[in-house]
Amino acid sequence: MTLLLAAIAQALHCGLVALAAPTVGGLLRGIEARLAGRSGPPPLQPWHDLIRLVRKQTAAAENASALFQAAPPVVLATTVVAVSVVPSFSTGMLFASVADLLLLVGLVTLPRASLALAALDVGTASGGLAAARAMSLTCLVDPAVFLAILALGVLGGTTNLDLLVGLQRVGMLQPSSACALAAVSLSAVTVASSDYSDLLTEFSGVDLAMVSFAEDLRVLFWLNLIAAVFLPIGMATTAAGPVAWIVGLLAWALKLAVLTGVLAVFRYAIGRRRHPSMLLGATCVLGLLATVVALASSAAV
Amino acid sequence: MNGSVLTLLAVILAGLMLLGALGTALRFRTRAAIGFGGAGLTGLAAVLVLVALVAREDPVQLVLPIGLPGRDFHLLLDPLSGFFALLVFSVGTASIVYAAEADPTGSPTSLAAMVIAVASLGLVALAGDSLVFATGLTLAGGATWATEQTDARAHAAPDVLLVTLLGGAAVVTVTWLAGAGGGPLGFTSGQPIRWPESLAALPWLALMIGLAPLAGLAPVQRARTSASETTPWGAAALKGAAVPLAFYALLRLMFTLTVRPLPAWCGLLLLLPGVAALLIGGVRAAREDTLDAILNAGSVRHSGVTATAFGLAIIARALDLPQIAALALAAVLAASAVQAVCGTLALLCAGAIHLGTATRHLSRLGGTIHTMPVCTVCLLAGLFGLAAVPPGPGFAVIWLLFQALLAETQAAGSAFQAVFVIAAAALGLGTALSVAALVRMVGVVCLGRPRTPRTAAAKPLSRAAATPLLCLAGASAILGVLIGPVLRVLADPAIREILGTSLGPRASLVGVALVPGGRGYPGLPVTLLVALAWASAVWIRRRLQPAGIRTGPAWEGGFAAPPPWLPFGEPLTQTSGMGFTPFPEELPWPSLAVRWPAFSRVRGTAVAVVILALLLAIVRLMPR
Repeated sequence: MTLLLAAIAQALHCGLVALAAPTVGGLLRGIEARLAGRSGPPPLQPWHDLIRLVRKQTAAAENASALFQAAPPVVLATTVVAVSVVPSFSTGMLFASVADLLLLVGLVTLPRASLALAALDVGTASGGLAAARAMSLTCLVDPAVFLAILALGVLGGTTNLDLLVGLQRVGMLQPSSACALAAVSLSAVTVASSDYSDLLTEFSGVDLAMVSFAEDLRVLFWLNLIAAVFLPIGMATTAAGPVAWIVGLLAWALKLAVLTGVLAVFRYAIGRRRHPSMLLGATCVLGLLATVVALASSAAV
Repeated sequence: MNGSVLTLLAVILAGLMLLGALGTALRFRTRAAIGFGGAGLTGLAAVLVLVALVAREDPVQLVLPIGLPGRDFHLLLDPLSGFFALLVFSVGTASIVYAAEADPTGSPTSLAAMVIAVASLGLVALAGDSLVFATGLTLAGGATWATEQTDARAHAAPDVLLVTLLGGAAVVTVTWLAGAGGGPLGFTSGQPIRWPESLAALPWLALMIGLAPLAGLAPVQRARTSASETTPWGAAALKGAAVPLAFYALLRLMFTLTVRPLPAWCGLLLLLPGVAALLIGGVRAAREDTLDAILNAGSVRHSGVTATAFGLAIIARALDLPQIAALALAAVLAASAVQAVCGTLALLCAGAIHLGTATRHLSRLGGTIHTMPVCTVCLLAGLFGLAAVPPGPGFAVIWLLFQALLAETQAAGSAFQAVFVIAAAALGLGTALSVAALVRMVGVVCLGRPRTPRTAAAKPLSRAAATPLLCLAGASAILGVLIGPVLRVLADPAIREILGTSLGPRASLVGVALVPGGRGYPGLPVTLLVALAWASAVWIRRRLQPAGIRTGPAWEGGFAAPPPWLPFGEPLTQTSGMGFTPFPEELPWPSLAVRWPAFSRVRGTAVAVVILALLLAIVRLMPR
């Protein structure tokens, strides 16, 4: 019975994140446009775009190789797996045992590398620049994320996301100052690495729909991760029953809306591309501080 | 059974040496005889070692009928030596087949020397005492040097030779010191070192210094010159098997020769250079301009990962955390396997690209995926295995390493904690740099447009030469997906031999966990999930676009069409491979290569013989 409930929760989660991702992407762009003084697209615009793109025939450059064609399914598949194991409304889902934080970081790195290779495959100037920029950004993102994971690991004694969320729900992930620093660090990573649109310029048709959808899923992945680890308010367990699930779903929707708004404000305030290296440098320092605070507190205990 | 296996292995090693010597002396006209014989014997040795490892019988020792007066030579087959012998023989087989088939017009003498080099490395892995270890290492260095001498037809620098001599001398000296001047030079002494407590770590420090160049932690590789442009890649690929043997010697001597755990600070002596190598190698791998320099830097980065894990294992043992030490040792062994399989694969693929395009400079390559598709896919597989991306084997290594780091951060004192936090950040940066190096190398070398007419007409590999590359790519995939069973069957007995404890049920079919039945790194389920999602995505795409893909000219972003005399487009519109790291290009990073004086074959051989004779004389004078 527990397994069945876990499977149902997992299927529900997968369906919901698939529905939520483009909507969150649309909301994000809409709020950003409003903040910039433009009317902006409606929140459901990404859905219209996806429908329009899948009706178009895919075009590719003459010199594109098989790797270029293989990239969109790889990007979508790895992002889907990553986002499907981060709990949204409930813990203890079917894939809970797979939800290791390091693994998740690796799973979101793989699509980035695949997109960079696809951008290089066509051999254009813009593709090469975009690939170099994406990899350069990865070099700044990963140390910050590793430090944040180390801080959470010191606090919780594990890198499994489901266990960390469980500990946070019962208030065992202490001190909260270390958690807050890690949360700010991961949030800054989300802000700095939330836009890889220049890697998508070579795609069209169904392929563009796939990678655009994957990009929206990736943003949702980071938001979900922050919401699950640092704000597990209202989150249910799979065995808790339908009422707790509904509460968890409502809480998740609310958290997602708030976090999307915050992300849009930060992206607008900081500027998407102005100084990502400086922001990520600061993120590393925050991750370092989070680890130091976590270690200091564990020594005090 | 292990006794018979070891005897057979000794016969095979002798056969390989004989084959190599005859091939060199008689100058066989055909490479096929040497290649077929060498690969067959090496492959048979790999199968025998695998059978012995799976059978899990007691360690056996064999006294060889040769040796120094009063000092017999020994071979030893136990789980630890078996693990590394399997790596050497598997990778050696692939390298010999590749070298024999990729360039049929190459020198037979070079191939014969390569067979000797593989046999010597096998001798190192199966050495039962430090004399055999040093002799094998020196022979391997000499044979590799001779290979380069033959093919380059130029005076090669003796860096390989001196590195192996230094490593061998360090092993002999430390084994003698560990025996406190009166013990044997065997690897199974199991004696506590009779040095004062405060000086107990000095021999190990000497060992680390001696083996650091072989392990890739000290920059001694020569800078490439135009004279070494045609250096054979088959022999160079043996580096993938030689580097793990440095860590094998460290494992053998630092863990099994002495019963007392080393002090924790000894672990820092490996961890800190490891972190430095991880960063310097990573940055240079993402910035170098030639195939061999990139792969050399990548090898240094990976050696850094292995050394970091090794340091953590020593510290965990000193802190009396045997379960964590087992985890760190599993990372060391897995990293060694990755270095051997994926490092060799990447080197062989780079060699094939060099052979097919006649250049090793990134600025002249590009688009080889269209002319050499199998080689490109194999290069991607090799670099993917070395990079820390799931579900590749490199990621499994990083996961094990990070878990050991996390556990020790919680258990150690504040001074160690500070080092561990820096190591975690460096690990993150090194991981990202490995991905950047992968994207840069594959993107610039294999994708995009060819940059020269010669590259556009690159010669593809023959089916026979591509076979070992595909086999190594398959082995890399197995290592990544089935990391749990691989560790359980091949590495766990070695860990038990070293520590007295093992991973046990923590390594299962699913992957590796921190506690039996607990949550950890699920290599197999993740691969299945990604494969399922990928198959679904491909199916959906096919359903949504039944008309297929329309092709047309690439959008050049507003650049004018290239003139007719630039058939491959305007070179300036294609990336040159700069800017893949966030560090400014002008920032000086330590070089990984030094300029060595070139030695002629006669002078180099004379120097090697004199050093070896001195070494043996010292051993002869040692009290028994």
